[in-house]
Amino acid sequence: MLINAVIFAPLLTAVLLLFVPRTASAALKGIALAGALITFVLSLTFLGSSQNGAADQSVAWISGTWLASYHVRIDSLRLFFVLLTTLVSVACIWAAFSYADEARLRGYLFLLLAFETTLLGLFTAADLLLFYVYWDLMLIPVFLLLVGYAHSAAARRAAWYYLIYNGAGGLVLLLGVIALVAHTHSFEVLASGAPQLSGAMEWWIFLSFALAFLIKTPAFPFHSWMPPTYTHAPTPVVAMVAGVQSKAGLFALLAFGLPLFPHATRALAPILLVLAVCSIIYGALAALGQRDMKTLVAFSSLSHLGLVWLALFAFDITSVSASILMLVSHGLIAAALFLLMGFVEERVGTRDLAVFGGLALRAPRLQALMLIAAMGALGLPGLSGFAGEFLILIGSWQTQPLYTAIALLAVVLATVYVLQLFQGILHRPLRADAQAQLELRPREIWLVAPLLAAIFFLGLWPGWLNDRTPMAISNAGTTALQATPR
Amino acid sequence: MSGTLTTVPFTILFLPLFGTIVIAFVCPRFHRVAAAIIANLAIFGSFLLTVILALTVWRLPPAAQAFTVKYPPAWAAHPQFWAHIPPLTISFELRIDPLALVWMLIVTGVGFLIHLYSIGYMAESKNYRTFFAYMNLFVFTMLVLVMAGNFLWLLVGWGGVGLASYLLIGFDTDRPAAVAAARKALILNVIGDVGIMLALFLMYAHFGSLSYKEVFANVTSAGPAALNWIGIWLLLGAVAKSAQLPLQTWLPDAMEGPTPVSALIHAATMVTAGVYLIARAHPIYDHAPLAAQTVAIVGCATALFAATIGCVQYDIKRVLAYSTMSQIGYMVLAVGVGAYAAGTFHFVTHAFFKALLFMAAGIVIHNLSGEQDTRKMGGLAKRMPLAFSTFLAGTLAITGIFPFAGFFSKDAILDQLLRLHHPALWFFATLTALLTAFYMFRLVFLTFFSGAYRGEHEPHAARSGTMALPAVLLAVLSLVGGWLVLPGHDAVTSALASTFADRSTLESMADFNWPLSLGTLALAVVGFLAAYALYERAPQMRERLRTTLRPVRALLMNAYYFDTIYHWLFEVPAYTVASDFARYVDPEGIAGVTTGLARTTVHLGDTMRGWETGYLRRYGLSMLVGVVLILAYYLYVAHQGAALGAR
Repeated sequence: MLINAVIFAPLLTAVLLLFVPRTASAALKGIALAGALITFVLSLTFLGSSQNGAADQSVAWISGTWLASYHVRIDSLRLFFVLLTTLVSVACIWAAFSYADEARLRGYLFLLLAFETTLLGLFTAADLLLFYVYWDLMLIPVFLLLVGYAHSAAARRAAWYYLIYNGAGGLVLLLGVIALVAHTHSFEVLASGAPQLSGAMEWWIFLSFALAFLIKTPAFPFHSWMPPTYTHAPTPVVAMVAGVQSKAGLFALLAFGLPLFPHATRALAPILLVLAVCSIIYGALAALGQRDMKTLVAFSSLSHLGLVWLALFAFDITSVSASILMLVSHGLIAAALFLLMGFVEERVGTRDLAVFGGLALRAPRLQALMLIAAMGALGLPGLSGFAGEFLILIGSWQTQPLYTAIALLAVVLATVYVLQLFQGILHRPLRADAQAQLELRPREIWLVAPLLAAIFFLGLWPGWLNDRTPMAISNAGTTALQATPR
Repeated sequence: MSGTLTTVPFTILFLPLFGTIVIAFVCPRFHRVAAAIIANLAIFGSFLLTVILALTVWRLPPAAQAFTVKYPPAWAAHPQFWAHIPPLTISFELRIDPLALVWMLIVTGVGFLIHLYSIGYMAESKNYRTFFAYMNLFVFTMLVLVMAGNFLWLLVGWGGVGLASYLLIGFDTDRPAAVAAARKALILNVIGDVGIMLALFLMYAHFGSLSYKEVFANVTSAGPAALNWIGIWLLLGAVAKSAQLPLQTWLPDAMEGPTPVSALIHAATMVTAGVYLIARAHPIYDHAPLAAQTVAIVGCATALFAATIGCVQYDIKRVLAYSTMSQIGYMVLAVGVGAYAAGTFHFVTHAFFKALLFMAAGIVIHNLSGEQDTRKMGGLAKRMPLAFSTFLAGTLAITGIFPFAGFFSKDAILDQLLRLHHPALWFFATLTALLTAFYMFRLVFLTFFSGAYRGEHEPHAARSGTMALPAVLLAVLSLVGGWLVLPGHDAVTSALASTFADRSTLESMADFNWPLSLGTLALAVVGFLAAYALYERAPQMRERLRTTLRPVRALLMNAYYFDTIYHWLFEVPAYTVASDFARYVDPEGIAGVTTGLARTTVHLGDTMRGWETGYLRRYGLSMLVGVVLILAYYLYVAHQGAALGAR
């Protein structure tokens, strides 16, 4: 029951907004934020129960030759994805308060809240049909936000790019789902362990799943939809897409991919490892060449999430476990960075790092917050980015030393591009025609602060998270870890 | 274990962090002096407690002098703090032993004096509070580095000091040179961090742990090849942090930071972290002869390399930066050949006299309104007697003039090189001593003598008690600091004995080799005379020398062109590739394939159905259909195959 409350609280809030007059913007904002906060608090209650086992609810849905049920659960694998979603959503909905067009604020908040529900639905779905429904449903709010609320031709183009590319991924996934269910006759595929598929069949079905996941994350070379989307989407949207939605593919791999196709994951690992390392290095180099700050962070995401692909296909217990830490950490860092960059863009009116700078002189608080987020992305020891990276790499080194060594190169490149971003925004002389009000407002500080606190906390005590995700290892990891390629 | 030994280390560690937090969150409401007072009190408190701890520990029997602390005790029961992913466990623990204590004493002691000095030096800064917050943060991270009980927390401190150093080098955020220098320092330091990470991965693979205790206890279970690799990767970290060849280029640029920062971070403490790392990891190097030999050669080469550059530079702080590099080269050389006590001893005396030299130089720069070029100084001995006398004390110490500190510590290293049978290294190290005397006295003559004052601004003699007092104290320490080792009496080796108890070859420094010491002293005098001749007596000879040695001089002025070489070797290719990726490969190549795929599909359809509408969504839909059809075919085939197989 409580699970459904968490999943549908944002949607309910969104529906509630429709009964509030369009012009009552204060009420709209208050209700939306309260809804997001309530969702977050509700999701926190699972922290206590997760160690005792999973919260689970299953209702029969479709019967006949093909069985499906409304099956949702929050276990140790899903818990932190849910928490990440609810935490980042609070910040994003709060950030949406500064949306300029008062007349359209209601729709904007409605879509953001609806997006949160689709994300929560995806991360709690234990039934393959339910999972697939959310997988595609997710695209709609983002598409509508991009096409209707960003007010630029580039954003509209990005919207179509996003929809078609991800839609293609969804279709490929659908194909795989159908092929799998044709074999199992049930969408409850997780209940009975890995299905007994023939070698080639397992191989092809996994390939279709993997392709969809690679597109959604995205990973090299399926990332073309990402730079325009991340660059042109409104600030709260991109923070949610980069912070939360980009975890969907890797989450799905952990929750469905590895347990369902243990042999195929082994067999295809060499290819996926190469794609992982390409993502890591290519993303870092492409980030280095950017002048647009948001595109820069977009490519850095490609690089950082490539590390998680490496972690999962290195088949080492440490790196597989650390991948959840890395995903949560990246979500926090990316969301914080995109929110802060959004505030900067509002003030200087451009994303081009070459034409402004020196904000530190008049905005020391902005510098302090940006420093934490940037150092997190850079992988400074003591912050969560380092904890994730280090634990992944120390694990993957044991099985894939060569790829790990190449990945370490990206650590150095990350320093270069993160400093390019940080110093580009904050340092060097301030332009003479700079606006008077550059410092962050209290609302902006307080909405980012929880994310930064979490970055600190997970960096100083990653074991706290690791300790609450042991189930994740036994569910997802071990099946694949123990399997031999066929 | 007594309460002192568990609570005190954590108090020492967290006082400076507490200072940072208070300054950042509470102080803005108060007068800016409050920040300075809190910062100074925090470090002074740390220092006092360190002294108490040191006195307690050194009274214990040798076997009990090294211990691991976890605090609060409740946390000790939580193995998941820091990380716990079976079989990997990394906990938060501190290790206190004589080696760590020596470093803690210097970091907090000299650190406190520099904090005191900063009150006056930074008085005109707009960001007074920020400065002290950063300085306290630096001391905290440096303490994490030296007090860590395992390699992971060492790395946390290692990265932390890198950040603090970055923030302080680029303290003037609107000065492009400072911003660039800070960036360069951090990037080169991160290369070092990666080296340490690689060493840690190897350690985990071979020992299953990152804790000092377990790694060192099982060190022989790994083969020499593995240990050599671990040693080499640790060395990469050390050379980056300690500005040794080939990652030395950031240190001279780091002089863009305020002078107290140069004194604290880029002379006395952080840059010697590489020496600490190698001394700390001595059980590994003792079993990794190849790696240890590499350490020694790198140290020796850097000592000589930096000394030669120091001979021609004009910027007072840059000369001091190259001399720092050179002196740390001595320390690295010492720990490389296994003379750990001598290396540590030189670290201690160097912290005194190099911090002093920077403070004295800082007074000069301060009084000349920021002028650092010695060509615009001269004749300052009479105008700034305090700066002159303290700078001279530091110079006498660094050049090894009896009875100043450098005489004892540098001779100890040279002496040990001969005892441990490294004549070639000894030769180059001695040559470096000659050059050191030359360039340091050259600096003294250029700044304080060589005729009249050559600058434009009239020097203003701003007196500040908080600047004078630490300088005088350090001048005294630069004299008496060396007396820790006297003939027949070696306090350093006996203090460190328990840390290096597993080494049978740790030679005492008490047994003086007098002919050698006098010979080195004579060389220092030769260096002095050469500087005197060229810069005081016979400037025309200097001109002649300059023309004959023009190519050599150009090479040295440009620091052997390392910056230029690295620029063309790494920076230019990386940025060319990166901007090509960003401008062409990604938007046209990779995204082009996607749209191209769509377009091709559309063209195919067009020939049959005339679908060419120019709508992107149509193109996309066509692409989709294509992909779906292809996959469906293969899935169908596979399914049929499975069905056949089942039959």
